[in-house]
Amino acid sequence: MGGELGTRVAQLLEAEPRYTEIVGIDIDPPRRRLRRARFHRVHPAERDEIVDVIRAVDPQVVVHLGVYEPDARATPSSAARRTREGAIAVLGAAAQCPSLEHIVMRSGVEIYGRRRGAPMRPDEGCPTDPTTPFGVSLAAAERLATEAGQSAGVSVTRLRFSPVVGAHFPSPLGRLLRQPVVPFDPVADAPFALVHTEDAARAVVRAVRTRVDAPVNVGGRGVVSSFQAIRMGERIPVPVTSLAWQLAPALSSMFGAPIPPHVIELLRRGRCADVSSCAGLLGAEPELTTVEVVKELFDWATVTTLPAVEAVA
Amino acid sequence: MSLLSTVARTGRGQVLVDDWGADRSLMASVAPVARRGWRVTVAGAEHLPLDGPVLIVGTRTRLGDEPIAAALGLGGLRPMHVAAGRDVPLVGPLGRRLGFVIGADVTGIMRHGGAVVSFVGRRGATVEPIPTVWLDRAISTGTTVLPMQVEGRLGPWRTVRLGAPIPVPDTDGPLAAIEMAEHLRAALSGTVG
Repeated sequence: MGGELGTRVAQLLEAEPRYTEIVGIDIDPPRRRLRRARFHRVHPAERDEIVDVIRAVDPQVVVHLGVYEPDARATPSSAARRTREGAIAVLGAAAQCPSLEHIVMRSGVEIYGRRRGAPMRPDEGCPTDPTTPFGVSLAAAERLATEAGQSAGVSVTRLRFSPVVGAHFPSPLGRLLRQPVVPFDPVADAPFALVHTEDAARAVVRAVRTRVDAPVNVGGRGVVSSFQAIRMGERIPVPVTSLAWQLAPALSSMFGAPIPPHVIELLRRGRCADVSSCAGLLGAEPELTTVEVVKELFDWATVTTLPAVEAVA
Repeated sequence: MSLLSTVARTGRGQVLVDDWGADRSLMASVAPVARRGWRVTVAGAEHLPLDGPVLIVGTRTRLGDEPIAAALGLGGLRPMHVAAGRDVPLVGPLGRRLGFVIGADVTGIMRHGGAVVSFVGRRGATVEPIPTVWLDRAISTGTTVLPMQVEGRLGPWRTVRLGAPIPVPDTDGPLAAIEMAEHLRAALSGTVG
């Protein structure tokens, strides 16, 4: 509930009177004002405290968004550890709650992997075969959620999001694309799809409502290639091929935009998924297309300095 | 649209690829150049629906140019993907821009309501078995399945011949796809050799 996505989900849930009690746990405090929701600031490693909070609430629905993308808000090792620890604590405690009816969890299309010969737009029926540490982390979290659901005898919606991007959402891809100079692979220039933070939050709320017991791919319509995205933002594309990709992350990291393996894979092999089931399973699909998400990413409001009306002593 | 203007527009980031990575403006620019090397005519075009999912299955020899002939001949009738791409560096991405996809994408394109040409190998008059996973998906998505043969081996002239749609079996269940595959294989065997 502390991150951009979690806070927005909490706000949307607050707007619906049917959700009488909303309780959240996160490592960071909420980004925006929440009116009804109660927040507990707990580190994912503090398992006992998380379990105590969840048992005390005895929720009917658990929304587990505690999936940490490497180099978004945490270093890769810390992100993997937090994701693992958080999933064990939250889902383990949820499975023991007598009132539990449904689990919604955040996952990602990185779970399908991009091994050579893999389908470019995997649907939910395709086997998961992660090829990056983030994908492996997601697969482990999904496995825990499925086990928790089976143990408690409840439905589990696994929302496999395309890379979530928004102007204020911490994302290594978003950060990289906003650099003045951006590497791309001229040999591949593979297409990828994105989903906007707002659309992702709405999909979570729909999943709470619809209670689908299945994985659901969620992404904006259409695709862009990395070169197109870079040019749409009027950034300078720098061609990087082959072994130079070993060097590019280190250089980019020096300028404040580390490139984790799943983003390199996106730039070199693409990252799309078949999202045609989304509307049927969740009742609606994301409003913003991938192109619109990219445009919004670059659409920063210009900071205008206003002169003081009168001098302050 | 000339190839140069397409390259210029691509350089400005103004050209968007479709859901499968195909660059339609690049394809439109390259097609006239390719047609200097291949003179392709299409027979049986009346069998090709102009919308809705279509799976066209042809036979292919080991070093044959059937995928190029199919792309040039059928690509002029409706947007078409050709499942003859290879997921390897350089060739794979370039092929994808030109509308070629890999075999793993065939079922996804049908599900999206697109048109895709895929191939099974043949040696002489023997046609290899047709993957039933394609036909399973074709049945579940209401895809029209057409047999195809590329005629003409020497010189630049090729004829892409489409056969009548393969009927969907009345039976349901796992046998339906196998039955359809046998019909399709028989249709392909009849047009080969």
